[in-house]
Parts: sequence; C-alpha cells; structure tokens
Amino acid sequence: MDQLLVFTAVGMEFGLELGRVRGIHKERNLLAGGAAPHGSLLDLEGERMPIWDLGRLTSAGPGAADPFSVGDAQILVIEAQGGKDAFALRVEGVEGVVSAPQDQIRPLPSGFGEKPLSLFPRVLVREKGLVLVVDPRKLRELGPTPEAETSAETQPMGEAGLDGAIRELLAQEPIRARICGIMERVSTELAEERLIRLKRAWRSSRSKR
Amino acid sequence: MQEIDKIQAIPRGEEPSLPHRAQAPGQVLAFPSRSGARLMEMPLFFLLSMTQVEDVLREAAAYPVPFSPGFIRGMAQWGGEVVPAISPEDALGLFPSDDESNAEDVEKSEPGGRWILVRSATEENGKERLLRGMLLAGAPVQILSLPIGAAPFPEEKPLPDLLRIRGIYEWEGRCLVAPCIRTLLSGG
Repeated sequence: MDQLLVFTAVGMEFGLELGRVRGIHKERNLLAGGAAPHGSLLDLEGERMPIWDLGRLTSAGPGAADPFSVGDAQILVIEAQGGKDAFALRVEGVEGVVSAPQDQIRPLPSGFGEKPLSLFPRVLVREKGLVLVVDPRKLRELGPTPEAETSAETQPMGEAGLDGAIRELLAQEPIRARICGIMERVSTELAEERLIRLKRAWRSSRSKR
Repeated sequence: MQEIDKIQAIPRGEEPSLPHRAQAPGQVLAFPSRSGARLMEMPLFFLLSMTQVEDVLREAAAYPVPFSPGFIRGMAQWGGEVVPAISPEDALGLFPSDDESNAEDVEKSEPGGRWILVRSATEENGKERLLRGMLLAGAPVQILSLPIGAAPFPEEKPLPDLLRIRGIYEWEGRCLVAPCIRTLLSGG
C-alpha cells in the first residue's frame, strides 16, 4: 500500500509519496512568522531552501515562485532524496492523503516522452480520475540550479521586489535590532541637540536681560 | 458499410503477439476528423485496420500531462490501464500546437465524438511490447469492407508531417488518411 499526498496545482491533481513530505505550511502563515522569501529561496527556521511553483515549472516560466505575492497558496516542504536536498513547492491546495494499493498505481506509458516519464513515472488510478505521481528528485532538478539560487540571492531586486526586500530586512532580527539602535541613537542625539539649543536660547535671553 | 457504436472489445491481457491480428483482415474502420478538417477541399477521414482497434467508447476523459508532445491531449483510462489520448489531426500537423505544456483542462467526451482504443507492438530489447492509446474521433465511426476502391491521393505532399502517415487516399470525395499507429503510440 502506497501513501500519497494529493495536491492541486495549475488546476490539476498531483500525488507525492508521503514519506518525502517534511511539512505543509500556509504561505501566509510562513511569511507572517518571518520565513521571508529571499530571492528564490525560502528561509524556514534557519534553513534556506529553493521555492518554486509547479505552475511555472510546467509552463514557459523560469520555475522559481514569485516570492512576493502572498495568497492562499500552500507550501510543501519536500525532501528530494532521503532526508536531504529539501525544497519548497508552492501549490494551490492539499486534498489529503490517499492510501493506494499497488494495482491502483500504474506506470505512465512511454509514448508521453522522456520528460513526462521522468517527472511523473507513475499514475494513481482513482474512480474520480487520474493523478500524476511526481518524482521529487526529478522535480528538484527542474528548478533553479544552486548557482542560480546564489546569484538570485546576490542580484539586486527589481522594483516589484522592493516591498519584499524591506519585509525581508525587517524579518531579520539582527538588522531590526541594528535599525532600532540607530533610531534610538538618532532620537537621543536629536533630543540632546534640542536641549542644547534650548539651553543656549535661555542663556542668551538671560544675558539680554 | 456498417456504422458502429461499440465494437467487440478484444479481451485484455493479451500476449504482445497480437493473436487477433487475423480476426478481421478484410475490414477497416473509418471516422471523420473531430474538428471537421478538410484537405484539398475534401473532408478528412482517418482509416484504421480493424486489427489495430480494440474498443470504441462513447465516453472517456483525458487528463493533461505537462511536457508531453502537443498531439497528446492527455492520459485516459481504459480498464485500469493508463493510455495516451491522441488527437490525430494534431499529430499530422494540421493544427500544430505551440503549447507544449498540453491542455490545462480535463478533456471530456464531446457530443457525438468517440474514443477509439488502438494498439500496436514495438520491439524493446529483443522483446515485443504492446502499446495502446486512444484516438479522439469524430462520428460516425464506420466499418468498411475491403476493397473500397480508394485511389492514391493526387497531391504529392498533402500534409506537413508525413512521418506519422502510412498512406493517404481519395475515396468518394473524401480524403482518407491512414496514420502510423506505432509511431503515434511511441510518442514519435
């Protein structure tokens, strides 16, 4: 019996071996909790992992999820291979876990071509339809390469990413502390300056008298 | 000429040696293009040997498979088996599709349309392997007894993609195309 997590993306149903799913998160909650996307990376409890969108991967897009659009999407944290090489996948929704006997899982016929066969080698046959079962390792390979991830991290962000960049900066505790420190110093200096000016003004008014 | 709704299905689980090849040697199956395509002003029909046909269905659904060739409209189910659902018009390059990602929605049966389950065999590592697939067909689906008095099609290169064709004929003001089922089912 295989246990598959069935989820929807690009209006289609996909299955994924449950053992490869490390976690399921609401994107909104992740961002609110400070797991700010960093370029094409998601920072989740200190672990940075690539995040991308199955819809984009299966269309002409570059594959990386737009990290700054916060919607009702869900994020699956997937282990590409036994406990490591984790990545995040943005999906529209999660249907649930399906326990399927072996005879309900069929191979995808070879006529579909190399890429579909490598990405979706198996199909879950259900009464209500067919579900492509994703190979997480191949899906991981489809996304940005580690080099691209690094360059996405260091490249300047476009205008569209400005809000996200600010959000991301604020989400990082040391920077927030530094900013708070600066603000405190500035306000102290301003206060001291004002006090000095007031004292000068008082002295000058006294000397005129 | 005989019009059919459902032909006798050949039992599943057959050995790839196709023992039913000799079942209907003198008959062919003809059906019109689902999209009403025409060639040289003649309505386009597809022609299959009856030995290639396993089943004709009124209803089925094709679920999209990303990255599959444009002429594959998705995957369909037949008796617990997953098979490719193929648009023969697209395969012949009559309606080339730029969308390699395939249709986004599940393609369901159209009123009057049929799904024809076809089979072929291919050799892999010295072993014969059975291939199956669904062709999306227009109606009516007809059984014709040979000979039908068709003539070779007059145009030298009538279709953009000849690799997927076994023959093209003119018959009673119609253009009959015999697709190469093995090539289609192999994704070629």
